[in-house]
Amino acid sequence: MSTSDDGSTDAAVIARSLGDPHAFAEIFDRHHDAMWKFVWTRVGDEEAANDLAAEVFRIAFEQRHDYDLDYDSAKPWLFGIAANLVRQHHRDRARRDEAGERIRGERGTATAPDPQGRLDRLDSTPVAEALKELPERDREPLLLYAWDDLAYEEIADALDVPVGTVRSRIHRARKHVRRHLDVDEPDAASRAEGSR
Amino acid sequence: MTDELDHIRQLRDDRGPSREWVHETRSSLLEMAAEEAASEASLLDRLQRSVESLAGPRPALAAAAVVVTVTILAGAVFMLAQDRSSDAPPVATPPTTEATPSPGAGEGSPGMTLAASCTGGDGLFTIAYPEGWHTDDGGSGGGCEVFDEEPLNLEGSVGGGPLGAVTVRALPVDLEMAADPGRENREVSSETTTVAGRSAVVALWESTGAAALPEGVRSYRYLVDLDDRTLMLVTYDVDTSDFEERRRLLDAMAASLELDP
Repeated sequence: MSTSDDGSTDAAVIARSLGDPHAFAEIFDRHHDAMWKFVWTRVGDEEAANDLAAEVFRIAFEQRHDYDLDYDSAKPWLFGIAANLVRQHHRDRARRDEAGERIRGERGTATAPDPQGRLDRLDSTPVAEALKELPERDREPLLLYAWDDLAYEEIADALDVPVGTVRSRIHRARKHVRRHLDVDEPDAASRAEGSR
Repeated sequence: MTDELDHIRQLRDDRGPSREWVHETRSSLLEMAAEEAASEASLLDRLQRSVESLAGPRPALAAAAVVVTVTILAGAVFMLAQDRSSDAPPVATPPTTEATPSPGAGEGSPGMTLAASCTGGDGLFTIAYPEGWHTDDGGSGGGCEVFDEEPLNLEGSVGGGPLGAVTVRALPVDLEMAADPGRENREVSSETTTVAGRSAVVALWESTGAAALPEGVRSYRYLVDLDDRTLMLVTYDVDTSDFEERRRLLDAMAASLELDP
């Protein structure tokens, strides 16, 4: 749960911002770092990360009247907005790539891939390869858990799926990564097994 | 002892946002907040205070009196409007040509002369306003931004947002975004025009009730393209018995606008 020094929850801050819009700056102060990192690791382009992360807070500010004040922490809500924007960004980029491919194909020129997210910029390691192999629906809950420190319930809210689904997807994803470690790093895998 | 989660965490990129991004994005949010406070929250505050001042020590009885009074006044205004309909000008429509002074321009209404002028937005613009009216910087410190025929008392306004008959303010968003009524407003009319040599949109919006404003409050606004910013001139259909007169005043003020080159 996100609280300030005076103990107010995100929900309390958002409620206050309905009468005093300036109060919403507190939500930005609490979560801008996490939101920027989330977007940055998914799009891998600083300019796009700046734009998308700023858009997260613009949308949040405009939609705060619809925020369910029963949820103390705004993190899942913000991650949900960010995840939608990242998906839209990738869709737009795919469409642009497709159009570019057609044009380049007609001109007979070589293609150059756009910058990818953090995963695609990682050196080839067993873990990175394992993550890349995962379908997005399993990978995203795992990364929200491991990289963004969200709890299962928060991931469920952010992705709008039942918490049981989050559990099973993370379990499946971890098992997949462990299997890679087992093959490529038997020592690490045995340590992982030993830690169960 | 490590497990697969530790391996995954080691791949995390702990790079954070730049200070410039944090500063700029926070400032943009505060600008949005100031805009909302100025146009909506303060409006409610004033309405609330008006009701409270009328309500006095017997709120239930007085509130009922307010409802009756408002109903009677609304009826009177409606009947007056009917009487004047034959010689009243048609509902003002947004100009489609450049908003430059023409015969009659410079006068918001009969007897109202835009004889005074001031500079606002930290020197961004100079604008004329009715003689005898009051101005305030709206807390921005950047010169005149709020205009009203009554002395402006901004001390008690909610969110620090002032509200006068007319507000002129630079928004930190481009014209496309500024001209989007969002879900808080529905667009009644919108046309492109030119103000002070710049592309502009002049629009009539009506609140939907989705935000702080109650449903059905009309606002008339000029949105002047300043590339990455937009200068907004706006008046609301509140605290006035003649919104059309306010619109004509805003037309005249827009025609007088000069931007700092």
